Amino acid sequence: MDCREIQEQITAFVDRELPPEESARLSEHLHACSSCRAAEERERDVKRLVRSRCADLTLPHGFAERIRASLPGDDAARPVPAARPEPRTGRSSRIAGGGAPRAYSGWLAAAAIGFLAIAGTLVWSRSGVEPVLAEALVDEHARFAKGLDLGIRESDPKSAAAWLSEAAGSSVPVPDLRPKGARMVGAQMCRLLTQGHGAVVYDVEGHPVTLFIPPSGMIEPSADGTSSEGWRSVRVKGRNAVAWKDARGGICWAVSDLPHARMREIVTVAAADR
Amino acid sequence: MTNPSASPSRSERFEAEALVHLGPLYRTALRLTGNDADAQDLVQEAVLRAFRFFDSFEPGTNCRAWLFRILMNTFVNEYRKRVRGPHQVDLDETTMSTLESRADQAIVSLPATPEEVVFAGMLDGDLKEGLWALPAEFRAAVLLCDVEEFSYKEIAEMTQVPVGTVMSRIHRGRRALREFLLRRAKPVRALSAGA
Repeated sequence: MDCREIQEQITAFVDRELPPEESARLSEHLHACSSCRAAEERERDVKRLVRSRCADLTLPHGFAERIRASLPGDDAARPVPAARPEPRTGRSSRIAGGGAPRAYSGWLAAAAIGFLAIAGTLVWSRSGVEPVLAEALVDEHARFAKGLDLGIRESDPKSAAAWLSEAAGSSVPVPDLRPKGARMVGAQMCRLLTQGHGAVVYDVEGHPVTLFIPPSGMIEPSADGTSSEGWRSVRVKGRNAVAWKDARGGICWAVSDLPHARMREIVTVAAADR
Repeated sequence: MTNPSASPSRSERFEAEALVHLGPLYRTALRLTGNDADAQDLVQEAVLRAFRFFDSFEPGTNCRAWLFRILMNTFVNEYRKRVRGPHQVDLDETTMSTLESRADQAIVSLPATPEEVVFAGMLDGDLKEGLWALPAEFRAAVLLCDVEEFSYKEIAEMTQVPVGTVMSRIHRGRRALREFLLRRAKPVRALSAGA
């Protein structure tokens, strides 16, 4: 056996990953070759060290309780879950946008134009995490509505799409809702429970409306597997939220104090424009 | 509708099968992200995701491996992109070959001394730094193998790379880590030799 060739095999040998016959062959070689035997010992030393020093299982105080509290209950349909999300702090609830975008590219334009072809199917997953998400979204919306925490102030959907896409690491299509009298105010990347969404804030006749749009990179095709029809509307903490599935299969949300029907009408315009 | 008194509810099953693995999830997340706050966020995100897709988990299969797959997926697809932004320099072939050649040199140039002895005096902070100096992919492979004791096949599924790549990452990761630790330990060794 060539000593150089078997270096990686030594790794697999130490990890007991070699098939028996190869393992036996290597073992034989190690027995005869002191240099490879030393390599084996080195490998074992590092493995032992990592194992012994990294095996601590201590959880931060209160962490398990916070995790439990953040899980929705078994009743997926209830609009306001008894289990509240983890208290949101500046640290954990949001991250800043990932830097200023440099250039606007054509594919983003295409993505933005393609926004909101309403699939007409599915919005609500069986698991019931969405009611919790809705609550978190309403909290985010409330902050944005006060003009807090926006990553950029921007009235151009294309620029906002480019900025969000850059921050998210994958395409975030932003609809142009000007035909419906919705003026864009700004945008932010926000991290909400299981999902990171691009948030875009509009002003509709004095009413703030926040759209939450998942980046393409986080959409899991057919992962939800539910089949309820059309829109989902909930009222949470005094605000209205609607959810729907966009052309990419991503679940989008809109939150405001406008009636559900009005919100649906506003966000549907982009689909009609296609 | 299922009768809750007849069979455990979804939450109860999740508690019994999934939440018992919070400790391993957190310790891995801590070393992937490098700090407590991000580790908590990462685990919370992964656990919520797991809860959401708990119906797709096949009872009787390895729940811990399933959870780690979600953790790794969350780390790679969401956490890294969002926390560090899209411009992070990821591990590429150049980095890999540099690391490898550095590790090779280390093995050639450093005498084969009883490293267990040297490592025994190693501070946890040194190891932490050494792990942190590894590219995330290497660090993850080493931790999943050495600490969590997953098989190469399981790690390959979690990190969505071929088994050969897993082996290579573990191999190179350990060598780079050893190199780092021996460099760090050199003064100590000189001191003990002089004593």
